Amino acid sequence: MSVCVPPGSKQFFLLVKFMLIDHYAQLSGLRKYNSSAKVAFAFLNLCIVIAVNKITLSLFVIVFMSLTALLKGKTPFKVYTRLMSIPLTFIVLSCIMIGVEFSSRPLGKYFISLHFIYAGITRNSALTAVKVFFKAMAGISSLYLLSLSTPVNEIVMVLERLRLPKIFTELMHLIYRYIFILFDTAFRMQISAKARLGFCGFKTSCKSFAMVAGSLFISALKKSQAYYDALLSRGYDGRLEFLSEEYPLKARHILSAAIYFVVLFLIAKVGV
Amino acid sequence: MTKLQNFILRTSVVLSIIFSVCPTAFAMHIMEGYLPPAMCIVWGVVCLPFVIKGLFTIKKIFAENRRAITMLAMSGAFIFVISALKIPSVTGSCSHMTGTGLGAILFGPCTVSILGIIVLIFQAILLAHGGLTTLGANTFSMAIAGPLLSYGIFRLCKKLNVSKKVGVFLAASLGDLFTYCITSIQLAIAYPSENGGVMASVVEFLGVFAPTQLPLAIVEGILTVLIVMALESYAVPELKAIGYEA
Amino acid sequence: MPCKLEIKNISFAYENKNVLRNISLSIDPGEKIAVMGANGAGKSTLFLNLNGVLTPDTGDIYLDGIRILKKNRKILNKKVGLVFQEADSQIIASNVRSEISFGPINMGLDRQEVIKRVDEAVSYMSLEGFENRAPQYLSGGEKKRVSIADILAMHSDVLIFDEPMTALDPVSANDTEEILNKLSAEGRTLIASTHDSDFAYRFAKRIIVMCEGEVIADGTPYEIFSQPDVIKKAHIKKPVLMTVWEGLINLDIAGNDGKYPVTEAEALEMLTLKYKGKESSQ
Repeated sequence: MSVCVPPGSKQFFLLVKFMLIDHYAQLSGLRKYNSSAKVAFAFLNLCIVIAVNKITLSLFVIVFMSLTALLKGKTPFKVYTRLMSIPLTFIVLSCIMIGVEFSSRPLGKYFISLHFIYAGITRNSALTAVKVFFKAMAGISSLYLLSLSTPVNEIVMVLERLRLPKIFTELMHLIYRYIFILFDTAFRMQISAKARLGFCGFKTSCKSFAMVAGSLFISALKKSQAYYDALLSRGYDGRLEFLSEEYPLKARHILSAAIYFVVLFLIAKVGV
Repeated sequence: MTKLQNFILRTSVVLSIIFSVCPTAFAMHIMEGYLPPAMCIVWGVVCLPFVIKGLFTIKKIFAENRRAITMLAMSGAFIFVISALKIPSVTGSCSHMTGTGLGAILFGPCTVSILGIIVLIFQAILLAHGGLTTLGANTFSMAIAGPLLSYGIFRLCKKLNVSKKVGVFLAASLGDLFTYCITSIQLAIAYPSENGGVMASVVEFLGVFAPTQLPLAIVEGILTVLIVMALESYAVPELKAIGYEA
Repeated sequence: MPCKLEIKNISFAYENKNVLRNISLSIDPGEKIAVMGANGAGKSTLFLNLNGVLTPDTGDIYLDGIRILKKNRKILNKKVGLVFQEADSQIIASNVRSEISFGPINMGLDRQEVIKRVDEAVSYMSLEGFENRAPQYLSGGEKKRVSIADILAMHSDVLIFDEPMTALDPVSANDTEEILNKLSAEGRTLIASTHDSDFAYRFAKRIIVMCEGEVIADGTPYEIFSQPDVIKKAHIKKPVLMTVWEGLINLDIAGNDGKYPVTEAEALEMLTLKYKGKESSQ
């Protein structure tokens, strides 16, 4: 696959800044695997991770998913670690909250007195926090394996096959397409606002942001008119249908997935 | 130095380290894998009636005006893009709008529920904010509860003849705060405190996210007012076409 | 099979703003037409009417003698293909193959036929290797090629190009022009709107000039560009080659036999022929 967006171009900037995942999904070494199978695999894996909730299993999933994404999917290491750090704030904060217990009397081994209440860490609460931390990381790595190997339109086609309401999947198709067009417009507007010193200071920044957002919305609505004409010009009749072709499902892949799930099952049985 | 001061100092140091390591303090998306399975299912089921209502509303809109399909799709893309752009911030950390208040005011709560769920799916897949198993919980807080409250406040203010700017500001910022409360409750129910129960946990979660969420809600309110004013000054016909009454 | 397109007295208004006024045209199979005129002259609206997206308020459109009404306007979608000015506004799918398949699927063709046509259009526009690319990863020229392939897959007989060269780099513009010529050589009717007089002059056999919703001139490029009032009214420029050739005639360098060269190569050839011929007779 040779998707080449020249580095340094405007397009490249946009994709790296906002759509990093989409960019690497298009380039992924796992792109040509059957997309229904990829979605099913990721989803089943997610369900097992959250249902079993054992540290060993979570660790195994994190390692397996990261290695697959890095080695098979050929996602650059730097990009992968950068992506993994995105959810960290949320996870760390909420795990601290789970770990720390507040009460009117001292609890557990470690605690701080806060005048009226005590903040402490008990064995149980700490264990829950650690478990949740690894579980969430495992969940995120599973999601990344899917999103870094399957472009959104292919995921939407899988949803179509699952008989989700037509309106819903049609809107998803169009929204995915339009996101890139709007980013392009938004980016150009922001640059031109910056060129006119629109982002100096909080007050001007707010005004400029609102201006950009407002004109972005207007241009979006105006464009949507022309886009509807373009749909009609090719005989659109209320149904948005495309040729959807699947990459073939290979026996080798089914077998490896089966082995993977057996291993998961064993870890779930014996692990802690 | 009292113990309290000591504690505050230590916590602030920890928090600032966390925020400097991961500068993207995103809105309140519950991350993938965070919720236990029962919670995932329950929140999904709670969302269902709203989503079905939303689907019917959209179907009706399409039946009346077929042009609406590209318009709604553009609106959905707009909410996504707006929520991905960096907004000016007071604290220095990098923050984003939720866009739910704006969406509710422009399109009404039913349409927003559908656009919101699609945007949430795309945020999970394309931006790694939120997740697939936590989609139900996130949809409820961001695409249903928040917009409903925003819309309610917006209409109420209109009825009470409160100035439009105030109405929009209240709708957007309170909607944002409500989303944040709901998310805190969702997190607390999932992992209640051992000896304080759910309520203690709710307070805990509210407390820890307050420093980022409170200023954010105010900024979101201000921006929404500015955007709505900008739209009203030069896009009345377009706004009418999407069903917004000036 | 190319078809004849006839427009009789059509008018069209957007929200009581008249955009087309009483236009009548007859377009024969295999013609090569350029439509010129200032921005807002009504070119794009005319095209949308010809393609069936819009229905004229008054007047009729006939395709091979069949009158087009609201209920059979889908014939126009099929027979008269419209390539939009901005490829981005035309492309709706998130991968090239699905995108090209959109038209044929709407025509109700079966899957085999759709696949066949998509493959044909892909190879005609040399898009091999791009099939699974998303539009956001294509350059402007590549997107243009996709948007032309969209229409080719519908096997339209009349092809309308709304300003095909705008926003393209010179190489892509050149490629597009070659494709247009190739399509015309295969017998399809081609209509292209443009602001580029040089392009219109060398490309078209007939030029239609529009101004404020009316057709103000219709004729061969030479006829059109030798009317200064039309040029002024329609905000167009005289082609460089024609100006130069007129200068050459005035200086008695080129022969004044009423024959004007269409391309630079042709001009050179005519001059060479004239002077080589003179030398040999001396």
